Amino acid sequence: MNNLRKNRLKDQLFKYWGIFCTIIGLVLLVVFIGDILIDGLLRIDWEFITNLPSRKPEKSGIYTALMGSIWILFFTTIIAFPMGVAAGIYLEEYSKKNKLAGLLEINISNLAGVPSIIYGLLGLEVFVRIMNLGASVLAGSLTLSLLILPIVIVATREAIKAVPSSIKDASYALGASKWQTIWHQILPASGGGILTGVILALSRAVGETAPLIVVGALAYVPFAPENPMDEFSVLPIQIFNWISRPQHGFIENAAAAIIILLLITFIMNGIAVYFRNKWQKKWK
Amino acid sequence: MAEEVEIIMEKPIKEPTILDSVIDPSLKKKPKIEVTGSKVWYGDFQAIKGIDMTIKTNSVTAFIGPSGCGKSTFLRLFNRMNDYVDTFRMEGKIKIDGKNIYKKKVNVEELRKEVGMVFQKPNPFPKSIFDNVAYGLKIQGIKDKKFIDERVEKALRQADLWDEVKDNLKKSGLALSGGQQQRLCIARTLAVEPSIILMDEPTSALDPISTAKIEQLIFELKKKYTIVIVTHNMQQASRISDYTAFFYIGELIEFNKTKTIFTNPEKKQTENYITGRFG
Repeated sequence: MNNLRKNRLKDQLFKYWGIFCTIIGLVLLVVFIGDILIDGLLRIDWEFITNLPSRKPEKSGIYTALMGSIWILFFTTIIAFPMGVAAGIYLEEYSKKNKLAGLLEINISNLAGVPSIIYGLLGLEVFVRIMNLGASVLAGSLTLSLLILPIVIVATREAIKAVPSSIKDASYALGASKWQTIWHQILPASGGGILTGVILALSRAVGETAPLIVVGALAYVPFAPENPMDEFSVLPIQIFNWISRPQHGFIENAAAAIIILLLITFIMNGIAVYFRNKWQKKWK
Repeated sequence: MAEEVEIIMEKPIKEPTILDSVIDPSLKKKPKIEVTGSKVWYGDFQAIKGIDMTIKTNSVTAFIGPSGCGKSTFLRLFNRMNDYVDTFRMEGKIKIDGKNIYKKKVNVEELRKEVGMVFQKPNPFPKSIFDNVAYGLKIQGIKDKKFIDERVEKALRQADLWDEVKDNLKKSGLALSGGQQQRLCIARTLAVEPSIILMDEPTSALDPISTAKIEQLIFELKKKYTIVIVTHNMQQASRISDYTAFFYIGELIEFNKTKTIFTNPEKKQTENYITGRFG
């Protein structure tokens, strides 16, 4: 009886500790978002989004940074998505499961954990200097693509692994080739997981600052990029720049830009969740 | 794929084994599958230790034996499904309609159109009933809508499923009951019009009524197809098969007419197994 009561007590204690920890995390998030909203919400209007940067805080807008982020996002997607998914398919379906494959797997997982500034240095050396792309949208996108490639590969592999092998067997047994099985069965079945992984990786890319600063993205660009070789800024760099200014008006601007950036990542994560649920339903 | 699998073949064949002599001579008349000296390894583990066997056209052959005895591995040799196991290695010869299916130039996809397979757990694709049955045809590049419609209907009728699903062909295959799903998988296999159907414990996940339906189906299909079925159910083997092969730890212990195996087995081991004394 005594023992039972002890176990009960432990159970209760752990439950309340768990609730406490959850609430701490949530409260901090709410305080942070509330603070940002109070500082920046009133600053957001159409002009804030469409104005070019200026020396005067009340005339400054995020147009160039927002467009820079969108350009970067677009090119990062078209570079990292096909490469990462193809590599994931290769590693999961084509490569033999031997020691070399095991080594590759460990290294890709490790790459996912390399600090982003290291990728920035790599991008600076390879894309900006050796390939002579300059501090362009293309160089920035390539750098961020390298950064999220391991995440996309790992997500693709996990999604493909989750496809029941019975489905593959059935396809092969009907005379389908490997590629037909991948195209007609494996990709449709794992598409939700792959897309979710890719979108989450991109939402990380959109918030990255360090590697782009190293590559040479500018804090002040007078115009939005018009082609991939143009110079650019992105939202996080714009925020970083405004926060370091002494005038109070720029702090407000930074808060407002943070709201826009948060909104973008929330929307992207929302899309990821939507795809995941939609695919799961199809498989029930 | 096929090229990556290390296969050792075309070894000189030993003199006929004792088994051939006990096999009913009628087997020799219309051989569909002829296996000589087959040995299989997964890495260092030898799963099949040298088996010869002849399977007759339009017959039902049952493979029985305790779990891990190699009967499923042996079955999967006939449509080369073991090729996907990285460590798989095989020696010996398997001829279907007189052609060695483990020759380098053999097109595995073509082989599998000739040798269909039904699996242990019903595994319909997460697609509509129609698309499930049409899949095998579509991957062959067949686009003729009318032809596909006819084949799908024919296959579903052969699998005794047509009347139950004809009004819901667009419904997901996963929405069917377990027994219906397995018949859908059989229909999917039939649509490609193979001449051999391999069944790997096709009723082990089904209730008795669904099982009876599948057994009835096998009885019907025998007229047109050569069927090889792995089963753990002795009664099933004795009910539906013409020939029965008893496997034990990678070896073929006894292979004969089902009637003989179940009434007057030659080996003590076989008798012990079918009477339930071990296994």
